[in-house]
Amino acid sequence: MLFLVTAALASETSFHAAGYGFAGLDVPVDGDPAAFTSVGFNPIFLWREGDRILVESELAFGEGEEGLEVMLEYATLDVEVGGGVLSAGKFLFPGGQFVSRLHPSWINKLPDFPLPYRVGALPMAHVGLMGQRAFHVGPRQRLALTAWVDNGLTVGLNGPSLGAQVGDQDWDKGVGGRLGVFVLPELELGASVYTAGYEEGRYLLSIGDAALTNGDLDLRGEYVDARWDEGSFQGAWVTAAWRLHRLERLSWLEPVARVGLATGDVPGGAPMEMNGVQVLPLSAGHGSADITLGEDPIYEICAGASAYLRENVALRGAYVHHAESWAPTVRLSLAFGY
Amino acid sequence: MLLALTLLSLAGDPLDGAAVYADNCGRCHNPRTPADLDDGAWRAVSFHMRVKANLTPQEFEALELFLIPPAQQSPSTNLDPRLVPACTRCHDGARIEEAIGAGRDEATWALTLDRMRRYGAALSAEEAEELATWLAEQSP
Repeated sequence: MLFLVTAALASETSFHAAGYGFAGLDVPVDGDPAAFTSVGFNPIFLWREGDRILVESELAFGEGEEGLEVMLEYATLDVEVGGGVLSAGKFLFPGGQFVSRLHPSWINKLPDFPLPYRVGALPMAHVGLMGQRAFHVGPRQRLALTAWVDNGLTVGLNGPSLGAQVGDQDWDKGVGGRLGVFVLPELELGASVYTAGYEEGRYLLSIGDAALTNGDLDLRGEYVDARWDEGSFQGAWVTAAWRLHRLERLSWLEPVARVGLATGDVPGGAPMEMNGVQVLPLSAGHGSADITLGEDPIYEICAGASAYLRENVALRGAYVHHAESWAPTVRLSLAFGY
Repeated sequence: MLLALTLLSLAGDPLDGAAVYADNCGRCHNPRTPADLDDGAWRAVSFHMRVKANLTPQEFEALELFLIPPAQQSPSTNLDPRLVPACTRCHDGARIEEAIGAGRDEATWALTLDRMRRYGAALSAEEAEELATWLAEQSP
């Protein structure tokens, strides 16, 4: 603790406000009325103290059914320790890739979230302590380790409630870890496990992820497997995007396609969001919480493109074919990262 | 043993901050042009990216050197005008001169400039091609 105080007193302070904003429009192709579905403003505040300390948080402002909604997506105190970083506070779920790195609308390649993240069986944030450290294991290879402990889960209506718990009534904490292997800087393979108890039950989540990126191509996906006492859920998604950097007149364009699959065993076929599962806030524009998982597997196919008005301003459009739940829809969004 | 030897061999091999920036920031989103933010903002953002990308200490050090060049490496006044502002917008003069002195051929420069254009270097494809030829000719 003393070194933290010493470092803070004797060091340079830096502050930066970043973040992103977005708005969305859905146009059903069957003639139903088009609708502006979302608007959001997510400021991110970064406060660095010296070489070892960063305080950061992201707020989410949006318009919900009852008017203004404000939510804390994350807020952490990050401290460099022994070449790694310890983060305390509320952090985005570190397993897999999508939640922690890809969900912001100016980064996500399509206007909505991949199908598995719209069903509501996956955690999005935790309150606890996270540690991470990366190591070089070859000229261009490295390992990236992440481990965390959090307050765990509480019981919902029909299973676990996956929302971030502030405070806890027992010692049955949630624990998780992720190993990322950078076979090359362009190729990352990851495996994550998370488990937590709720009353007499236990929730176990496994994720495998992969990403191949080279500045032009962005090919990535995840497989998720969640099991708990009352049910289970399996999902997968793969996104492929190709930025046309090499075409002088079309270098602003990025065609993209995504496929998603979700299946599970949910007692009574109840919508999983009824379990009190927390999805990301202000999520209508991301297509969250709009999927009901029934007895049969569901899938989606999306094809579209992003037009980069600037490198941090994306106009995205996609034709979304979603089996059973929706009529095919053209989904548009404008996102600005700053 | 092999791992230990590999790690030892890496200890004296400084990483290219530009490559760290391209590989790790560009993995998830379109990278900003380094000139978009001032040094103070980059100090905060670089630590944020260290956490998001889970960088090694060596990568973080190289990234900060790239985004926040030390003051003593201020831009040289002797650079050829054709390098301004396409290169000097992000790189100091010493770094540019060092790169020219490394003896890269035209194909290597073409790849480098292609990557720079993605980061916002104000160069058309034709200008990049001409500049790659010229830079290769400057090799010692």
